Formats: sequence, structure tokens, C-alpha cells
Amino acid sequence: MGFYLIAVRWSRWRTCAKPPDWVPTDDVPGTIFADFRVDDKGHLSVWWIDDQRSNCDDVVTALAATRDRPDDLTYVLVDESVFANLGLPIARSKGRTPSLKANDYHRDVLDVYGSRLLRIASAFYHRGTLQRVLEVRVEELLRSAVVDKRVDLHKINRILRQMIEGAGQARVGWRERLRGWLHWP
Amino acid sequence: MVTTSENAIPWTVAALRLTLFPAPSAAIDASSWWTDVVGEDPESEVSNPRAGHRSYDGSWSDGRLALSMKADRIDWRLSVREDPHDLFAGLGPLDSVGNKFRELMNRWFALPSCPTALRVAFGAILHHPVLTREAGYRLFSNLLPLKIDPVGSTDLLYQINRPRASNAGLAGLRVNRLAKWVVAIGTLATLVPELTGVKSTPLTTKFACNLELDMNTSPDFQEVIARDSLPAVFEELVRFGGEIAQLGDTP
Amino acid sequence: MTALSIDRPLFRRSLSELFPKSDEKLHTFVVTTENASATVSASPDTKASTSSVGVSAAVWSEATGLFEAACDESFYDGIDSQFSRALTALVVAHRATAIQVVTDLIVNEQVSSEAASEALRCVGRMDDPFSHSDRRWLLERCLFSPDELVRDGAGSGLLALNDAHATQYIRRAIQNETDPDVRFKLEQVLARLESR
Repeated sequence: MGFYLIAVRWSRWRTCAKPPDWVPTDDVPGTIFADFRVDDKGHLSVWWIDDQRSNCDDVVTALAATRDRPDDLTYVLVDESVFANLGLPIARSKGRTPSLKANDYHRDVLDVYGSRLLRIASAFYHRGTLQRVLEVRVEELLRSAVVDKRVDLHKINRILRQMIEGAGQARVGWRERLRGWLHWP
Repeated sequence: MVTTSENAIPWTVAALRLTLFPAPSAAIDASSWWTDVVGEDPESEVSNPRAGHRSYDGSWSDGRLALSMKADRIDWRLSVREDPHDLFAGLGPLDSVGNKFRELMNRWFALPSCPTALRVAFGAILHHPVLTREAGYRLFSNLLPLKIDPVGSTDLLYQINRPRASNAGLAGLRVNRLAKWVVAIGTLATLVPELTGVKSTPLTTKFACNLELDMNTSPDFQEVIARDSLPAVFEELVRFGGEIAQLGDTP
Repeated sequence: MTALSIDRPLFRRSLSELFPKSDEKLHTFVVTTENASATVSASPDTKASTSSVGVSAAVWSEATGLFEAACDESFYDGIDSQFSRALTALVVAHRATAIQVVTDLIVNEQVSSEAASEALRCVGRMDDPFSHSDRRWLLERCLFSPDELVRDGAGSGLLALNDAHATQYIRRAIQNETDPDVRFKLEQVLARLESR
């Protein structure tokens, strides 16, 4: 059996090993729900990771490639069996990242209503493993994926693309505006 | 020892300032600075917790002393008491007032709670009353490398920075020597509220040569200035200021 | 002094697009065209002056409003937020004054840790040479904050700022750091800055 992965923000999840006193046992802090974005069809995106975690870097890279800029990427892994015990309906669906290969690992949890969402969140919070990939490592993964053509560079945000292509940490400041003013590319 | 120029202006001090920009790692514990330095409680204390500003002030020597603190700077200021009948009042010559102020600041530098610094500055505002603008410009023309037409000119503002290497014992330290020269006009007027607005009636107009000095360690200096270096650094800044006041704009 | 060679029609566009309004005085730079030269006032040489920069009530109000609104926004790693965009615009418009306000609010713990952390990441990424040393001071100072989220944000901000001056403070911060995740991050940031 493998794992399911969601990307989260470290600051909201860093207490999962030792929840605050004001959170009742087996409950979760309300702030973590910001990392569970259920779409209008009631689907929640998760990513399947094999039991050896051999595709974990691919998924992390794919998720990083969907963002506006390089940054840390934090994720939580929960065992597939935990989801199975919760009886959650899960369907394969193609992801929409710049990585064709990683897109095959995308899954949707279907019909996510309130109490189901709480069970999912609780599973990740209490039984998941939190892992933070720092920005330096994320940059390495992205560059390597571009070189190996595992991500489509043209589907990546312009600023992120500039960084990956080795133009240094791209920032939008007065130089960018100068280029725009003088119609330089 | 500063060589006195025969053209030196007999300045009087309107205000002096020590500014210390604390090193980012410096812990700031200002709870007893005022009493430890001045020897008595301040006359007033103002605190703005939201902005993180605190200030204390009180009388000291013949003037007003103020300590103000923000997140990234600490200022000690000595200024003349405002006197509406003496528009350009002063505390005395820069030599003597500057030395007294420097000795006071040395008491602060000696406190274990005095923070290490990224940068240090000495500021001064000096006056010398003159009868007319032209008289002021004539005095300036002896001290500044400009050909000034004292009769045909107005609104002269001469500001220049003359950086110099420091000899205060910190390798690589440079000092900015920023000076601003103007002939200032002070007008005492009465303001009377009327139906159509406020009517202003000038009573006295006076002129004074005005010199603002800002001697400060360069922000390009990458090292932290330790507490035990502060007295020597500050002494040098005060001396550089005195030199410009005496000799004029010098490289 | 910065020299540019540009065509006369382009010169007619307002320089305020390039250097937005600021309450600071300006440097001088020379713009040369084919047939003439003109001297224009642009940005300040404030680095030689240590006079205190006053903060207008409007800037203060705008900055505090941004941080208050940030409490209603959820932040996501690597995704630009409304807060970070608005904060960047505020600094572009008001430079040192805006950084002064942000410094006062964050260092004096007047804003939420999450907003402060997000602000520090944003501050490090800004590409504005005139506020560089002020931003660096704020990030270095926040390495010693009592809040681990703020220290974490400072680490990210210093990585983006990419200034080796910070290494001396990062080393000291690592020695004092109690949170293992933050310490690991600071070690990575230090290694990256030392390798450049």
C-alpha cells in the first residue's frame, strides 16, 4: 500500500506532533482547513505516492512547478490504509501540473461534505507525517526536472521559469518596470 | 586639536545629536538608560507601543535633553530651550558644549546595556546671528569653495559630503562628513484670528548663518561596532564636526 | 550616477513611472539623447544622512490596514498573496518610509506572526536597491525574534535577499535556535549564502 499526499503550509501544521492545549483530543485546529480546498464538485485533490516513496520527488516537483515562485514546499503523507478504513470514495483523475508523468498520480476524493472533510483532515493531522522540502532543494528539483524534460517549461509561471533557467532569483522591481517602459523583452 | 581659521565663524550650538543604529542582534534594554546617564528621573516619558517608540526628556545643563528610541535607531538630543525673544539662541560654543555632550554620551557607552552598533552619527545645528543676508554670505565665502555674490544672490543652499577614512581604530571604517550651509531667516510674528482667516503681523526678522552637520560612520562598513569602540568613534565624529565648523568645507 | 541612452520620444514619458512618488529627495542622473543632454533629479543620496525620516500618517494607516486585512487571508507557500502584492506596492511607492513602518510593526510584535512571516518573505524578494540595507536590517533583526514563525520568515527572506552580510547574524541565530525545523532552514540558508 502507498500513501496519499497533500501540500500544506508549514506554519499551520507544525503543531501536529504536539497539538495546542485548546484543541480537544482527536480534533484539529481550525486553521488547517485552509489547506483542504474542495472544488465546486465536492472533490478534494490528493496525490498518490507508492510505498517506496519513489515518486515523491516527482510529485513535489510537479506541485512546485504550479506556483508563482520558488519557496519551501511542505507536505503531509498519510498511509493509504487510513483512507481505506475511512471508506472514502477515491477516483483517478489527470492532474494539471506541468509534469505529465506526475499528473498520473493525481487522485480526487469524491463527495467531500463537512463531516467527511473533518475525518480527512483529522487523518492527515493525527496520523500523517509532516515533511518540509526547503526552497534550496525545491530549486534543485525544478532545475533537474527541466534538464531531464520531466516538466514542460512553457507551462511554468514566467518568474519561476526565469529562476529555473538560471537568471538568478527573479524579483519584480524597478528593473522589470524599466524593461516594460523601454519595451525590452 | 583643531586649527582655528582666522575666518572662523563664532558658532553657537542650537542642537546636538548622537544617533546609534543598533546591530540587528543587539538586545535593547533601555529601562534604566536615562537615570544611569543623567543621574535623575526624566521630566516626561512618552510611549507609543504600537509604533514601538519611546522617548524621555528633561533638563540638562542649560538645555533640554531627549532620548528617543525606535526599532532601528536610538537618538540622544541636546537642544536649546526655545525663546521667542531670541530667535537664534544657543547653548554656547561647539568646543565646550560638544565636549560636555560627549562626556555625557561616554556614560551611556560605559553601560553594559548599551547596544553594539551598526552605525553611529553625530549631528549638530549651529547658528551665528548676522545683521543681513549679505553679511552671512560674506562670511560663507571665506569658508566655502564658491564664488558667492553676496548682494545679487538669495536662497543659497550648499550641501556636500566629504567622506574620509576613520582613525578611530576600526580597519576599513569611513566617515561621511555631511554639512549644509544656509543663511536662515527667523521671523517673529503675531497671529490674530479674524473672520476671514488668520492675520500675521511680522514683529522681528533676523538672519543667522546656519550650519547643519551630520558626521556619521559609513553604512557600507560591514562590521559591528563594539561598545568599547564607541567612545573613540564618537570622539572622532565630534572632532570632524568641529573641524568643518572652524575651517569650512575641507576635503 | 546612472547614464542611459534613450530616444527623445521615450524621454517624454513621466519619470514617475520609473521612480514612483517618494517623500525622499532624489539622486541626480544624466539622461543623454542624441543632440542634447539634460540633468534630471531622480533618487536620493539618503545613505550619507542620518536625519530621522518622518512617517506620514497616511503611510502608517495604509500599512497597518494591510496587516489587519492579512488576518482574513490564508497564505500558501510559493503563491503570491494579495497581502504581499499590496505590501510590495506600498514599498515601491514609499520606500524607506514604508520599510520603517513595517519594521516598527514587526519588531514590536504588533502584527500576527503569520502576517509578519509572510511580510518578511516578501521584503526579502523586493528588488529595490534604495531600501536594500533597511530591508536587510529588518530581516537580520527578525532572526532573533522570540517567535519561531518570524524567525522562519526571516530565514526565507534572507535567502531571497541573497546578501552575504547576513551570514554573521545567521550563524549567531543558529547557535541560539531552539526549533529544529527553523535551525535546519537557517543552516541551509547559511550554506547557500556562503557558497555564493
